[in-house]
Amino acid sequence: MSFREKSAWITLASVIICFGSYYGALATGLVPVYSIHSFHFGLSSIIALIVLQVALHAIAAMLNPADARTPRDEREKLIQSRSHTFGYYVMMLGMVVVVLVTHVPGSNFMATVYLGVLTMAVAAIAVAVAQIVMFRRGA
Amino acid sequence: MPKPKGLPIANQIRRLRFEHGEMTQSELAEKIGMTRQTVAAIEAGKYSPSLEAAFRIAHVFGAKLDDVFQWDE
Repeated sequence: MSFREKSAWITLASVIICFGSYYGALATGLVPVYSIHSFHFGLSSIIALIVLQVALHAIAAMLNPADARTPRDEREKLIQSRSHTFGYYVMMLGMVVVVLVTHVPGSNFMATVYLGVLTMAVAAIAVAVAQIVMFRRGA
Repeated sequence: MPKPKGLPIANQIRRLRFEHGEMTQSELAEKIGMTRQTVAAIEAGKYSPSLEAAFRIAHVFGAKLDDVFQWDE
């Protein structure tokens, strides 16, 4: 498995773990949705995501430094480009949902923020999944 | 001769590698500035290389482009 594919798996796992635990805690009521605790927990999740990404990428690079140092070749650039295009469409779809939700009676600012952040997390997952599928398929 | 589904391009890379001192995919990848995984994908017919990459591969083997890649519908 190439370093870029490992990187896609690391992104997928870390986003699912961090945002999954965040939205899981909100959905199950472990953290009250409209409270300062949800903000603090959200901030902690983002910091945990950064730490996890940096640590796992560092470990992956240490396991195969030559592979990690190799610049992206044309196939990897193509995979990166296609996956980000896919992620962009997922993000745009999510943003349309966010805009629609703002027009739902009873919706508030926090609901918009939660949905917006969820959209970004889903788009990041979509990019990582698209990369993994293309790496597995060949391109 | 790998002939991928949907890609009508066959190639002789595997044969040429073995005819050139059993060159590994990693060695070929290093010579053409690509990853081993990309060489494997090209060889398996899962990825069509750019014209430049195709010429680089042919150059490594000292072969003409159509000795390495064939249009095979």
